[in-house]
Amino acid sequence: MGLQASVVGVAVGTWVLPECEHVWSETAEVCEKCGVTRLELVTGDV
Amino acid sequence: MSPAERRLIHIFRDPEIGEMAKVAAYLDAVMANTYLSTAVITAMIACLTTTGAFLSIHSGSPSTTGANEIIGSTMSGYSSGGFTGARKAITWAAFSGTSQVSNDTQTFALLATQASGIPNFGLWTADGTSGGTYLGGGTTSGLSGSIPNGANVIFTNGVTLSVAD
Repeated sequence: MGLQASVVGVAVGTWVLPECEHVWSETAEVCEKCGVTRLELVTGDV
Repeated sequence: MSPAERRLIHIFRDPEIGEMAKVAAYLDAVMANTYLSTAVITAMIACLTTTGAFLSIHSGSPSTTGANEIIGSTMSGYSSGGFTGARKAITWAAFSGTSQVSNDTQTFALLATQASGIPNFGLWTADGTSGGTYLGGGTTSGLSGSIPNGANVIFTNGVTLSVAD
């Protein structure tokens, strides 16, 4: 028999992190939600 | 005359096509042919797209059963982690050629880090809050590597179902 076929599926996705509304720790140096430091925010090194 | 050329008995009116046929003969090439009509091919995919209205994400191959599904917070069997909500509804553009492509967006808000990414997806008859039947699935692209907790995993017109020979 020559009948032959199959269904192939592919899903193209991406992911993004929503912008964090920072909650600063008592020392106010590290965000308790995302872990970014104030220094990283200032230097843009995030 | 080479053996391949001796096999080419037919003389093509267009010499360019004739040369292509010679190359194909040298390579022992065979034309792909499923012997299936477009109507049958369309029906194969329609089996998924007419009833497979919900998209799932998987941490490994779903195989033929829907295994390795990442469970949403409102789905039956949920314990922790996963993502917010349930499987996401998905709609489809009209069948075109030998494939059908989704035409809306699904967003999964992760509640835990997916350290090995999300390598697979699935299609189901229901959103999973009270079960559903697994229909089929496949691989993803763009979702390899660790995906952090809190990330939104997004599929925009992203799912393609094709018929392969």
